[in-house]
Amino acid sequence: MITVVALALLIASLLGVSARTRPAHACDLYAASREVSPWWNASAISGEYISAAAFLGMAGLVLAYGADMLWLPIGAAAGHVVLLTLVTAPLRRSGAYTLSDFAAWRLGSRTVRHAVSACVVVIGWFYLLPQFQGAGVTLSVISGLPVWTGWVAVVVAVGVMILPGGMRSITGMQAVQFWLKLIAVVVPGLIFLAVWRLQNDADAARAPYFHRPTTVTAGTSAGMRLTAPAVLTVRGVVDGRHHNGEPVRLDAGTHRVRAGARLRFPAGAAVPHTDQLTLLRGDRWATPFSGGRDHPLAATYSVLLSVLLGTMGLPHLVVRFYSNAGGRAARRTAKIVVLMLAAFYLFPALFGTLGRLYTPELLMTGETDATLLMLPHRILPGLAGDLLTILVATGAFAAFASTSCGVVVAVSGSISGNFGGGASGFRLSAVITMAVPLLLAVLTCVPQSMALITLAFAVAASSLCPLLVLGVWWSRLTPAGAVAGVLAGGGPATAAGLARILGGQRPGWLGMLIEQPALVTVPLGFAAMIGVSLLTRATVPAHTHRAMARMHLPEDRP
Amino acid sequence: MTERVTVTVRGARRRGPRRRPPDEHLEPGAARVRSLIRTQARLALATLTIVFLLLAGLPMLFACAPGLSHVRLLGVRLPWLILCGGVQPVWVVAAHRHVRLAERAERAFTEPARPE
Repeated sequence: MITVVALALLIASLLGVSARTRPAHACDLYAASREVSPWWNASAISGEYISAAAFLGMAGLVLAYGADMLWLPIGAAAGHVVLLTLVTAPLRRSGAYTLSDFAAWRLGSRTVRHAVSACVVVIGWFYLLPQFQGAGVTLSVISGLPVWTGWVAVVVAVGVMILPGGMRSITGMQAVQFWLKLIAVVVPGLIFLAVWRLQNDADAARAPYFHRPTTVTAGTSAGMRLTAPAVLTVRGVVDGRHHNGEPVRLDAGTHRVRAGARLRFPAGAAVPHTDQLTLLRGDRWATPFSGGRDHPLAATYSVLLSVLLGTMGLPHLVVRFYSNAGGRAARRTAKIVVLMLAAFYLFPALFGTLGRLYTPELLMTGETDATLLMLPHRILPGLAGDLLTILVATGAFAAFASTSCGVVVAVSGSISGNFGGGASGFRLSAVITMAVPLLLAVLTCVPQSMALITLAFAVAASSLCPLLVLGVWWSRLTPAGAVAGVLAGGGPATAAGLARILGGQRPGWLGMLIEQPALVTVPLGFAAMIGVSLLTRATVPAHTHRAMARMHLPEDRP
Repeated sequence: MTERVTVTVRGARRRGPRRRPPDEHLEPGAARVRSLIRTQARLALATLTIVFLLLAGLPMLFACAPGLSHVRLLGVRLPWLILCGGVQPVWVVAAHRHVRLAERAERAFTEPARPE
């Protein structure tokens, strides 16, 4: 398995190096030359958008929670429609590179720039954390290496790719990596589908059980819940007692399994679940809103709102439109992105469903992010499985690398611009940008990367989305209003995110809102921004109408 | 949404001369600019209405009619079929339509001003 990983890393990095050119001057570090065609740029944007969480995490979420998670891909693509209609062309025509630049240009205020930069940094951290975590889980599941090696791998890969070359170096790489990722889901997807149809027609909706004898190694110490008594072979510590590979009868209920214990289940045994996950039997897995979570409808609306509106506030995404020739090309690019994401998102639901049949033990270890990586071997043992694993692992590393690079470049471009800029400032900012999520990755107790990434969307939707929408369409926005809105929306969303990362899950309404705060924080951000703007009417920037005209008029006007 | 700014706050006069409505005298086509922005805003709202109606309606539909989950089409449960394959094409069409209309509005803005 080590060779698989090495090969995957090698392919992914070769693609990166071959697409790299040396920057001409320091300003090129974060300003790609504007000569990229819509199709090429759309590939780069989709490549950057399809992160580890989307590539691996979506399938895992479908495996664990079923129908309730099918909303996420829909919201993700819809978020790009919203971005297209409200923001792309005007933002491109404003000529601002980062979101901080846009805010400073539109409102002419340093305070607004600082507030926006702070938000960009928080979003970047929340976005990088799941990338690190996903890489850690992936590497440990397929190679047995400790989790932190995955974090180091991502940090090193990002450092190698961006520190010498900057933004220009990664435009080509991102585009190539999108097609790599698409191939890495389409090819296994079609093969799995064919094999699954030929082998058996089992309904994935029944309670998960082991189809063949399976050995599961506990990666971390955790509780597992058995629904019925079971006899299994145990090597390691279960319920505080050490076993040496003898058969053990475990009663129904929760048992503590210490890290490193190996449990062998006979064929036909029901899959015990980690105490982090609710057991979904039969129809409950396949039916929307019956997943056992509190207030599922409100939670769904909340997550849809954050993904829908948060997309436009992702700093690494919006800077990419700067590479287009103008507003019209930017709009066409956004349209192609919607098409590309729609194609990509056909597959995670299939992988999640297959995971339920072929890799159900992930429900016990909780490492559902590994679903897609483990499927090839389970469905097609032998050489075919090996080759598909290499393909999928390459796609996964491309996903870690491209999203992490994009976020680090965008965030460091934003903060180094705040403090004067320059190449060394950019590199320092890049190091700071990566250090904090690394720390959070050590502390967090949320295992699913996709659950973490919605936190970044919630912050973006509650702070930068109001700023962009009102900044582009409402001429009465004032600097004070912008700052108030960014703080009133982004502050609570950030607090909720930290509470979720460090505090785990809670029941009831409060728990739902901590997990998905957008339903409250988005209206809060908009209300504060509009309210304070109306109160400080006298301070509407003098150049507002010129700015509005510049954003909305076509470039080729007479 | 796009009216020009007028300073009406009491006390503003004391601080200095009344601020002039910005740019009105510099940019002769201000009215046309406003009308273009309004057209684009209308187009955006139309597209967003489609998006929001679908995203608000579908969860409501499935929450109110959980029995839909037992209806199968082509061997796939109806909610799965709709969510995995039915909605994304709508986004693609909506995006395509929006780009076409927005570009048409821009052409209408630039072309009459061109010399014949």
